[in-house]
Amino acid sequence: MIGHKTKVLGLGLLATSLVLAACGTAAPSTPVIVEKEKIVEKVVTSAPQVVKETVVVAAPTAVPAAKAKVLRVNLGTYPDNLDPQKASFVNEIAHLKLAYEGLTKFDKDLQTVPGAAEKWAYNADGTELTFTMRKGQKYSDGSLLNAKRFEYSIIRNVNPATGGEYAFVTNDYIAGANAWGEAAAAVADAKDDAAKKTATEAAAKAEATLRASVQAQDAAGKPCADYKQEDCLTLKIKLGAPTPFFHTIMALWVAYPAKEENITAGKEQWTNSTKFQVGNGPYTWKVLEPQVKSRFEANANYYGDKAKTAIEFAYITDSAVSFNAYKNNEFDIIALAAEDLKTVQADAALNAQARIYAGSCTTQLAMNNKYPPYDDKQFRTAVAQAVDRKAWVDNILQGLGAPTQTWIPPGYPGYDKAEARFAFNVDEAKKALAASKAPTADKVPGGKLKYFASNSPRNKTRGEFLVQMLSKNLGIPVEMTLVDPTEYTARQKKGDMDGMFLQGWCADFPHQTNWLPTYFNSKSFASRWGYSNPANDKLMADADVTVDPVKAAAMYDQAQKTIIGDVSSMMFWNNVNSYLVKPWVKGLIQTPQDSGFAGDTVPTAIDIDVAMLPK
Amino acid sequence: MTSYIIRRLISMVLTVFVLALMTFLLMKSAPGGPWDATAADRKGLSETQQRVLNRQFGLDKPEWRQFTSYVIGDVDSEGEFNCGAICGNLGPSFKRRGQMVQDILFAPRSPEGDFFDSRFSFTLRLALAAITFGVLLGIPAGVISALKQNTWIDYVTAFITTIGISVPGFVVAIFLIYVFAVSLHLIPVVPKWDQTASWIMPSAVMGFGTMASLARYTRTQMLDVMRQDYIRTARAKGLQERVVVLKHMLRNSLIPVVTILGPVVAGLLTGSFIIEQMFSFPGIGAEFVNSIFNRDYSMIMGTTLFIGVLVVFANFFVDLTYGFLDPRIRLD
Repeated sequence: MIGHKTKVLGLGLLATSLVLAACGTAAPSTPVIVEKEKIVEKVVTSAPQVVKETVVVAAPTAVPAAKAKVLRVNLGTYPDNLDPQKASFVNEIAHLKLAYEGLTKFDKDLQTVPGAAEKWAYNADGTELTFTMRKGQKYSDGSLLNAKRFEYSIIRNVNPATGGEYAFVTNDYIAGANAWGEAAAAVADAKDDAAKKTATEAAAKAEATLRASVQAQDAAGKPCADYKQEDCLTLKIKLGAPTPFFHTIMALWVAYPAKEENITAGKEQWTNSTKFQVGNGPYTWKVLEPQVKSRFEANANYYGDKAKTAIEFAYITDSAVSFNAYKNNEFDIIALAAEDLKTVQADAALNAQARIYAGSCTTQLAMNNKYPPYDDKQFRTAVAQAVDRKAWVDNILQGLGAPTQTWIPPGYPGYDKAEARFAFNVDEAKKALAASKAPTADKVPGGKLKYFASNSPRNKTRGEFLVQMLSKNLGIPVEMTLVDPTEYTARQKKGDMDGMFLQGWCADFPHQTNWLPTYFNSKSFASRWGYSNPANDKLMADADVTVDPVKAAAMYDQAQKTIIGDVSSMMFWNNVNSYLVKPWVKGLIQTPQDSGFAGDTVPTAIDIDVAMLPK
Repeated sequence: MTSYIIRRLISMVLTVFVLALMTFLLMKSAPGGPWDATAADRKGLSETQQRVLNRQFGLDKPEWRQFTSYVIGDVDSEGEFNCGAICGNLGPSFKRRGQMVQDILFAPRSPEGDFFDSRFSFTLRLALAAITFGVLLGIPAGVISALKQNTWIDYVTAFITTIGISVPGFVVAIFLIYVFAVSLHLIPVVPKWDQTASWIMPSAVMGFGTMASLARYTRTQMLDVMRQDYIRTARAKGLQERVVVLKHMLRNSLIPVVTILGPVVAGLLTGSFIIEQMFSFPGIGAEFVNSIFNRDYSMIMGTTLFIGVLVVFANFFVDLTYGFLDPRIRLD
């Protein structure tokens, strides 16, 4: 019925549309023959004559070469922001920590060790920190890296106009940092020109104070002039109070020395270009194709151990697609999703490739202490003892987690292995409930307990399990409310969710301060569920400024025991890092701080056994 | 015709304006704001940072002025007028702290790129491939299915089109990946967008639904037209069957098909969140969906207006096409 010409035309159109779709940035992958024009001058007896000869030269052909060492990783979601001073999510940081390095860094034991700075020293009372940088350090493009670069990046992180979500890790400690933020906000709030002028002057003074707190100096102790000054190797940071752990914070991405001239030249797009993403880390960012691919290769100018493999990131968010690509040998490392765990465990070869180890996060069941019946410690104790953490981990997390009764996770300073005061025990839970102000449903406002969760199919399933368990073990009905994710965050911040909800935290850096005062201070996260213990706030604040690390550790331990004992929330589970890693990936060092992919805390240790690669 | 086009253009402007207003009101009534988009377990921006950013992005202004600033424009702190969406300025993204929405959607993804590197270019190319796939397979399938009504060809076509309409795209995608990439190793799972092979699966998945809808519509219309008197007359005149089918049946069956094709094309041009997620595709669909969760007001407004403009123009061109398909239809 449809003529042959029509069929051919249709098929032709389809093929053309696909070819056109792929056009744009095509790079030839097969050997091509190119014509090269060669000028040959011949000397003849009569008159000089120029003759053009066309010589056919074969371009380099793809001869079988040694297989390149490339670690192919599916990172999942593509980052929103690859600016060191604006990044906040693990996938953003996974990129940045390959291309950049801070003044310090973490080793395989999560100890803080020299990075771009070869040493550091605090003054006697711990209020001034002096970094001394390694001499002659270079960026991956060969340009000089001096202390002035770090001065710029730290001040940029503090600058309220930058709007970085991790500004707090510097602002809470550097002298004058928060004051600059306040002064800048006052300018924004000024209603008239006079008020604006006054506020602007105050903000300028606050900025000057902050700049004096972060200063790069030369060998003579004078402020450095520019980024080309070779003897600019000292960075002095004045701290608002003794902060004996600030050198650990300087390992974080917020202080990575992105180049000012690149940020200026690339404008808002600078982060999306390898031309501007020039760093001082162990890798050079070679390819950055947003949402599709990144490639990092060893930085020849890096002072330390050279990377053994290139690293390529892809961004496939669907775990089923990622798993299929892994099985197809298109990835060397992927995250192991809970839904694939049974398949992996049923396959001996895949099971041997699974790497499941302790992670960096703890999740708790928060109970809003401001609202009855959760304002009663006895009642909260009953809840804490009524939840079978192991059943949750086994059934809901499919084994990808570990029950916990304490806050700081294993592998981090301050982990309290002995904590077991509120273990699952239905009988004890019922006793605590009987002793509480709300032993029965009729004493609970509305006759039901409330559980809130961010609306998603996964959270719904989780919530149903928890609701059922609590209802059964306490004998009080529990109602689940699913809330739009952004509204959920907003309501948590307001602290107006009058019930229970899950609340997690992951380590930014391995120190107790990142777990205790940062989180459980009455004005910090704890305010989201109305927890306040002023005496413990003071203890944590005192621990923060205690220069003696042993004394400080004891104070943090005490503070953590108090937090657990107050039962403002129920410590629930620790996450695990779970990945599938191909057998030819060698030398991988696992740490709880791995976040982007297995071994990414010490990526230079990773190697590929080329002999094992499939043909 | 000219007066019709002018009237339609005016109504299109009004439609887009109402769309902008409705979107703005709904967006602002949703709980939470752009600074709440951080995951619940993150600390997020401090209160002072939020005040500074509110000022920077104009969120400290009254809401009516935020709307007019966005749509029409506003005078900045230095007294200069910055034209708004009517000039193609879709505002700064809150999530990306200032990168302009039109740059995110239409400019190259990196400073060194060209148009082919932009998100919209990717979406456009995928949409063209998907439309081609849908039209070239869907319409002939509908025609053949109608001509071979109640034969095995009709049943097979009905089976495939039912799958195309009812099975979600991500299921089709996983199935195709499993068959063609994992089992047959014909194409890679991890796409390389400079290679034609990588475009086949997302184009097929995107175009599958379109193909199924077009096949069903075409078949239904063909069956209706086939029973008309003028078809009997055409055959009685001794016309060749090919001419009867292509000139008399198909042409008269295409009006409803073209009607659905307009919104379908507009839909394809605005990308698909699912396809982009499944195939790691750098299109604009994910920007639209994520902007809602992020409360990225400018991105929500920008993408909605873009989709709105595409839909009204698609419908406009569909209406114009009627006159060409059926001379009895007079647009005046």
